[in-house]
Order: sequence, then structure tokens, then C-alpha cells
Amino acid sequence: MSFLVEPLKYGFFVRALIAALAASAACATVGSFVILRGMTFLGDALAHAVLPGVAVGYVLHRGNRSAVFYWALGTAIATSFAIGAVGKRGRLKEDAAIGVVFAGMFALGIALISSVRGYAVDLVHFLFGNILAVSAADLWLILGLSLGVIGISLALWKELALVTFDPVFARTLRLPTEAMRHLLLLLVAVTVVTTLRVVGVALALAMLVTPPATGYLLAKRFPGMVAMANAFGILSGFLGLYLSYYLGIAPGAAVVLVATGFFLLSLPFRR
Amino acid sequence: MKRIALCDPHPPELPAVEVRDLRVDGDEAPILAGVTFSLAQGESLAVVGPNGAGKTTLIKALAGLIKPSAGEIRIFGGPPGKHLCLGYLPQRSEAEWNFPATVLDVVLMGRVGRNGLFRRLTRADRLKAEEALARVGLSHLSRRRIRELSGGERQRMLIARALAQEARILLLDEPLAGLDAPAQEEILSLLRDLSRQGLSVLVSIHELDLVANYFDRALLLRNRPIALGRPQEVLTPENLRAAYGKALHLIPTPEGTLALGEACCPGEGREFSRRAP
Repeated sequence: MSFLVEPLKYGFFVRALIAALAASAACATVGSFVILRGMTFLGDALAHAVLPGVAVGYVLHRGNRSAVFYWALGTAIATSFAIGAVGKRGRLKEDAAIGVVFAGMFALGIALISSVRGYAVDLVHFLFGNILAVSAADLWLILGLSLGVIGISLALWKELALVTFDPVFARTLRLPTEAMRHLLLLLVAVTVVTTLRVVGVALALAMLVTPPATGYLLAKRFPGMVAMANAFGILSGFLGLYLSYYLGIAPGAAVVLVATGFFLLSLPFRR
Repeated sequence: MKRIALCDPHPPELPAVEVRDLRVDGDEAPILAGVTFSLAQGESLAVVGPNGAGKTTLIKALAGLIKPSAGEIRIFGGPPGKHLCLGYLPQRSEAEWNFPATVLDVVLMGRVGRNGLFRRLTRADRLKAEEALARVGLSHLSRRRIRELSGGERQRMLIARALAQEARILLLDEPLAGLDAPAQEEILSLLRDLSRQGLSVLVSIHELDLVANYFDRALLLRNRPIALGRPQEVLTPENLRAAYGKALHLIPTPEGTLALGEACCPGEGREFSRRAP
């Protein structure tokens, strides 16, 4: 078992592992609602739209990584409300509107970051994660946000499930369906921020979608699907980090590849 | 949050639904105008008329999903949209049929409104759901996954969900669409049984030949009410011609008048009524 223990003597690895597991659980839980509601593209858009926030934080507070984090969180929340409003009115189809906003925001983020000299390394960290640089402060934030997201999902479990399954029925039960739509967007936004450190902007979608998709293939009922999504997400975070340590590959990519591997392995067993 | 009436027992003489001079405006002409009727407790009413006659609009207004432009709707004497007494099955269910859930899971969702935010479903909720499934004859499928259900079973499951919700009024928008003839009759006889047990049932329906057998009254609509009364009195050639216009062909045959109408799509004629000469 020494190969399991060996990396744990490094503080950075332990912090990375805890962050990855917490973010994986939050993603798996919220992602289960996301894939059933057909919000996958929206989740991707939210993840990418966070970049300009990250960029502003980066430009304003060079060297202070936690500040970047709060900027990302603020941008994600603002974007979730903007997307919620865009979906309501306008002649453009919702996915086209999201596409326009998301690509524009992403470009703005890259432009801002590129204004700083020697930006290339940092840009790569934002895009693909930089989990081995998780500080103790970052870790607390990731843990807090993950637990918050999971707690809210569990507390409003049956309402969120109902709105996801049959929104019109939810309205006739006089549930606040609009408020719940915004809440779900907010949960996605916060969840995306927890994964930024783990897999980065570009791969956040994988954590949100792949483990729930695996759970969907294997489970008969929704609670089982979420449980399996959590199991596969957490296992992917765990195995991914060890793979990254021993094979010397980028941790974010390793985590996502493991999650994708589980998905492919589950295909023959789908029910 | 607004308080929502939980549909406690009502005095039996109180009408379940009262509609007075209802108007719903469309982009140009009104979709509905001058609609007045009431539905007693335990009564069943078929809403018939051509496509675009305002049947769906009427049902959505009753369900509290769209606001009338004028007129009044009373559900057990109160405004619509504040009641759990009302079970609504839309024409094309927007439900996500690939949702991983069993039949019992879906029927249990009917209990959510009664149960309140943050509260877990209890054993009593489960019993109510199982009882509702028994009433629609689906107990044997309670652990079946919803995506494996036939169209008729799906409708019955949704009716069971409304029963679990303890709805006293069922609003069904074209529940027979896409079902084969035996399944259609199964749904209609279930609805007839439920109305005999005291539920008020309002159904929009294209199958005019089935109306007389299964409904107490019929409302013939073409944006305005054309006729309201017992099905035999409402579904006369004159009324049907007034409602369907050119879409209706009355063909004299040795067996009686054959009414042929375009219920669905242009060019797709559909026999829906046979009348004795």
C-alpha cells in the first residue's frame, strides 16, 4: 500500500486530494440535475464565462490567488443571473444567446490575461486547473462551497427533482419554479468555481457531466443515479490525482480521463 | 409565501368549477369569448371542438397557468391558481420521460405539494400513493421504470399522481391523443368511475363518438360556446356544422349520417361520429 501513502507525505498533495474529492462530490450532485434538465451546454458556458472574472482578479491582485477565486465566484453568480434573464425574453433561441455570451466572455478573459506580461503559464493554470497549488485558504473555500452546494441540493431534493422531471406539474403544485430555475443556475455557477482549481475552466464541464452520465446509464432511480455519480466522481478525483503523481501528467486531465474511462466501461452495463 | 388552499372537504352543493363570461385574447381575435358554465362535484364534462377552438386555452386558464383577459373563474368558490384540488394533465406532457424513476416515484411526486418544503415524504404519503395506483389499476407496475410504459399506462400513472395529490378536479387536455382504441376506452371508463366517486372531470377530446357514452355533459366550442348540455343535445349536425364548418363532412349512408372531420391535420380525414337517421 506504500504507493497510496507515499504522495501523502506532501502537504500539497493532501490538499489537492481533499479539494478534488469535495469538488467531485459537488459536481456529481448538481450535475445530475444538469444533465436531466438538458442544461449541459449552459453549464459549459457558465464555466467559460468565469474567465474574465478570473482575469480581472489576476490583473488587479497579482500573486494573490485567493482574490482570483472570489472574483471567479462573483462572476459566476452574475453570469448565472444574466443567463437566467436571457432565457426569458428575446427572439434568439436560448442556446444561441448563451453561445454568443459565453464566447464573448471567454475572449474578454483571454484578452485581459494576455495584457499581463508572461501570462502564458498562468493562462494555462486557469484553463486547465492548478490543483497542486491549492493553499489552505483555498481548501477551506472549496470545502465550504462544496458542502453548501450539496446541503442545498439535499434540502430541496424532492422539489428540484420534481421541477426537473415535470416543470408544468410543479407549477400546478404552485411551487416557485422560476425561483428554483435561478437557484439551480446559481448552484451550477458555484459548483463550477469549486472545480476551477481541480480541472480548470476548459474541463469543468467534464466533472459536471461525465460522472452523472455514468450514473444515469447504470441506475434505475434518481437517488441511485446521484449516489453512483458521486461514487464515480470521487473515485475519478482520487485515481486521477494518483495517476498524475506517478505518470507525471496534468492532474486535471488525469481526473477527467479517469471519469471518461468509467463512463466508457459502464456503457455495456447500461440498464 | 401565499397560502395555498389544500382542498378541504367542500359543501356538496358548491360547484367545483364556475366560469362566467370568460375571455382570453389572442394576438388578433380572442381565443375564447363569452364562455360561461359550471361543473358540479362528481360531474364529467367533455370539451369538444375543432383545432384552435380554444380547448387547451380553457383548460390552462382553469389550471391557473394563463390569466384570463376578462371574466371570472372560480374553483370551489375561490380564485384559480391557489389550489391543490386541481390535477392537470397537459396535452403534450413536458415531463422528461427519460428521467430515472419508477411509476411509484412519479405518483409520490403528487404528495410533494401537500408535504411542504424541506419535509421528507412519510409512510402515510407512500400509502396514499399506493392507494392512488390501485385506483387506476397500476399497482402491478409500481416498480416499473416510467420510460417502459405504454401511452395508456402513462396517462393512468399521471391520473394516479393527481389522485395522490388529492385533487378533486381533474383537467385533462386530449388524454386520448395517440392511444389505440382499447386504451382510449380504458382511460375514459376510469375517468367515468372517478367522477362517480365524486371527482369533477373536465376533458378535451376529439373522439366525438365516445363522448355520449362516457360524459354527463358536453361543451362544444369554437372560440365561443356553440352548445352546452347533454351530449345527445350538443352533438347535432347543425351544431357540429357550426363548430367545424368546412372541416366537417356529413355523409348520408344506409346506416345513418356519417360525420367525417379533420381532427388533426389537413388531409387526414377521420371518422368520429355516427348518428342514426
